[in-house]
Amino acid sequence: MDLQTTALAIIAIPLLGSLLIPILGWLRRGKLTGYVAVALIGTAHVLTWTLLGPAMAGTVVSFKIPFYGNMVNLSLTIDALAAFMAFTSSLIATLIAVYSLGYIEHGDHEPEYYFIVTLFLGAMMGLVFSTNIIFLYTFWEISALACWRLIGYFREPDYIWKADKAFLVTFGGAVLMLLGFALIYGQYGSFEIAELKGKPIGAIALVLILAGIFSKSATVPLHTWLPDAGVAPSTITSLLHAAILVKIGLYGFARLFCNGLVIPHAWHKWLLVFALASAFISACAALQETNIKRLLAYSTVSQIGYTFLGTATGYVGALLYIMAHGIAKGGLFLCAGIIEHGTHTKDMTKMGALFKKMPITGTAYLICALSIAGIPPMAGFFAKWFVISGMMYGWYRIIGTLAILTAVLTLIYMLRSFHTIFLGQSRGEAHHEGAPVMVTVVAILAVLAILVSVFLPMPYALAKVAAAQRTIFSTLAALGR
Amino acid sequence: MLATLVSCLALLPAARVTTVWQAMGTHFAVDGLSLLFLVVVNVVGLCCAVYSIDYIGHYGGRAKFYSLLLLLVMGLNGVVLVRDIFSLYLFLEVASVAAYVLVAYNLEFDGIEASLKYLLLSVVATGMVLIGIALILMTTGTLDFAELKVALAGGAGANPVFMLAAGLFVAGFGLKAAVVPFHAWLPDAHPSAPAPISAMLSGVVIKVAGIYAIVRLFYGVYTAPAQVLRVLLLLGLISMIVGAVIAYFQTDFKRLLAYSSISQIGYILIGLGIGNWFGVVGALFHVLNHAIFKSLLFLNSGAVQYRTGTRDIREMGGLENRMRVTGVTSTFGTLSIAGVPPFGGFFSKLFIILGAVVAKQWTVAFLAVFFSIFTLGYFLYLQRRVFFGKLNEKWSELKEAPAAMSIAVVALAATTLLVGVFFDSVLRGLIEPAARVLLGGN
Repeated sequence: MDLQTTALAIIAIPLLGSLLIPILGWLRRGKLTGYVAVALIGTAHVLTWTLLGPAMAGTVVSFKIPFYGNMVNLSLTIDALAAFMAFTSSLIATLIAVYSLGYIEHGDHEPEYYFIVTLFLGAMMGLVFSTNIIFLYTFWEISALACWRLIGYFREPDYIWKADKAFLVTFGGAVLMLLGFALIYGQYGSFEIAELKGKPIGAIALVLILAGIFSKSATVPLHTWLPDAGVAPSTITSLLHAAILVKIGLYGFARLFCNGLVIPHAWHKWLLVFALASAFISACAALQETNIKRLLAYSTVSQIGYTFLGTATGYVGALLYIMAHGIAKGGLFLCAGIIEHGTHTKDMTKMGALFKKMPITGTAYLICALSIAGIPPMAGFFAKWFVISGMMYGWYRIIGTLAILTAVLTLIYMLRSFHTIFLGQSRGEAHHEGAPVMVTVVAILAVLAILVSVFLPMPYALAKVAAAQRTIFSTLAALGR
Repeated sequence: MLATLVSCLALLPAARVTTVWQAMGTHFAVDGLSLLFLVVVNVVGLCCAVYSIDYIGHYGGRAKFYSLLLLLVMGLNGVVLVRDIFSLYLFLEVASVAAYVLVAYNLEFDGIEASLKYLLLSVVATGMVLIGIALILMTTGTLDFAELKVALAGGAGANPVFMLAAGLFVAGFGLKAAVVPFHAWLPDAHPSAPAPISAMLSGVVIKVAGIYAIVRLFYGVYTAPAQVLRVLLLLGLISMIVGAVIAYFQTDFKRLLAYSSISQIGYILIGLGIGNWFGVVGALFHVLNHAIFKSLLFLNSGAVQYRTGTRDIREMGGLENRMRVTGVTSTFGTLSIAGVPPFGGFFSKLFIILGAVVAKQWTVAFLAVFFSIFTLGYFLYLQRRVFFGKLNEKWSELKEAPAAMSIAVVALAATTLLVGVFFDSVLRGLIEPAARVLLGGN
């Protein structure tokens, strides 16, 4: 298969294949749905492997399937950025889908769960390859509506309210972003990112588009829906935090502003300040939390702030960050799922001394937590290193120092959560290790968190190619360094 | 009913040409614009007819119901096919008479009250339209669209009488379209009618009687004078805002939908008021989309009422567990009306917003965007209270709506998704020819 067919297949297999799942549910074959979903998502992931070689060699393939006038075309671009994102997201999503087999009980809503998870991944795959703004937006919104149904999966009244909140905040941001796109269309007459390359963007359009990006990637002050979304099944929070949803905002930023439109110089510093404030404030919030999933959610908000710092300073760092954070945070949420199944609570103060009962989960949690905190030799260390050194080279010394301070806070709350959950006195009754399939997935993610740093040259090379393909915008370039 | 739909689909390839024929001393013609509205009327009409096979059982009087429904459809089809103002007025009255009776079909107090209110306000509207027609006939001596257009272009347009007539038409047809501040009848009439009739009224009647007439007159005859466009834009904004805000406070399923119709009619008028290519295409596309998703939602509300016997959304909860088809299809309607891609409603709103941006109407663009968030807000509230969630104990014995009702809603839900996915074909085949009739050339 050539690259075009592969890319189309990667999008179409989960997106259209997901429609099989409700049909299975209708035929009362609900128990099969999980395996079908794993097969669909897994196939898409395996196909992304074939993109890595050409992407690493620097190949860029763009093609257009005309749709409506010169306005809406299905334009796909396969470059290093797209291949990197598709590979990372689908890898984590495959593992999460496998874990779901042990996590989701058989029941009425099982087909809906697998249908939407598969659709969700399909939307993500569509998003990373699309370079037409309308298609980008369409996939963006499919992911929002998928997330609405999934957060409310357990159907408790306040869960539904929180699902609605997540949908409204991300939809609200997205339509503001759409208005920004309309302004751009009014100015340049095109929705093709390729045609907008290098064009400066007006201040109002920029603010509107950033509202969409920040609401999606849960950046302070539009972040509150993400901790609330912790009421979803743990697999879903894991999917939202690690593989798909918040990464969409980051990817959107990278695609639009690093490979397309140009942000005026005056804004660069404010973006950095904004991202740092988000990272710092949410790290402080995480220090206060006793609910394990809310703590991890605030930690995500904080790490996303870091990644934004990375896109603005050292692009390589940002991409490695997306991969390292995805693996580690995915692992942490899946650990939280096992813990929640075993203890029937999310309150960390009611846990304790779980390590003896759940040795594998405990070890995996520790490895992933250290990776998030940026302790070598875990993958998170290298990612953090590239981001912070990028800032130091860019003479953003105050911001860089504060970023290190935030990293220290991260280490504190991560280790403290490990201590409260796994060490010390037991404060609950009868706990047990999770189902074998769940524990295996968690162990794989922990191993990956270390393996990525062992094989660091490979993702590094790919990120380097992506950084070279980026047309413009880096604060470093702006400063002439 | 099926026959009319098939025949109007057969006319699809002919969308680009204007066909004229004569019958009963009146000229009938099909052009792109008529065809779009014909399709809308007959698709929704067919779905409502299928739906009523099971639904009308608990009202009784099946034969009476169907003859009135057919009369309604006939009147609406007439409105979009005729070529002069007076015949348009006549067919409008035919449709309206059928609608008055159908609104009071349950023969209960609220139905009859709503019907009378509708009748009385409509009389005012038709009175104004008649005076307008008289003024025009008095000045130009003709009522034919084509001849009027020539007369207006030939300098008679400066005549203040024409602007007076234009004002009367805006008010009269605006009342028929339930534009704020002429909307008072709609929130009473639409909820008390049987569900398929609510769907017809909200989905089709207000558009044919109001929007089509306004479009035909002000774009087709008056060639879109700036003053009228400004009025339409303003009325559209007010309707969009007022309708959405009031809808937010409703606890009656069908009243909420009725107010949301007012809000969506506002979007259509905004598109028309902007008056550029994007705006008009968006408005006409929204006519199609709104007809489909709003009749879908009304039919859903009918299914819920049929099974639970209530329209109060506070008494419902978790109905998706018992009425899965209704629950899923109502989600489609919700997402489409809020403008979530890939459903049809997104593309029409996109075009309206693009129109506003291209015309540099920043405030309008911002308000249109803001109120689509608002729309999603109150429809999510509806979903939360009615379908999405744990089943209310009270309804544990509930069953899915009967087959014919489910078939109709599934057909509409599939249409709203397909219109979105294949929006390019819909635009090229149906919307653009209609917009070309209005804007000429392009």
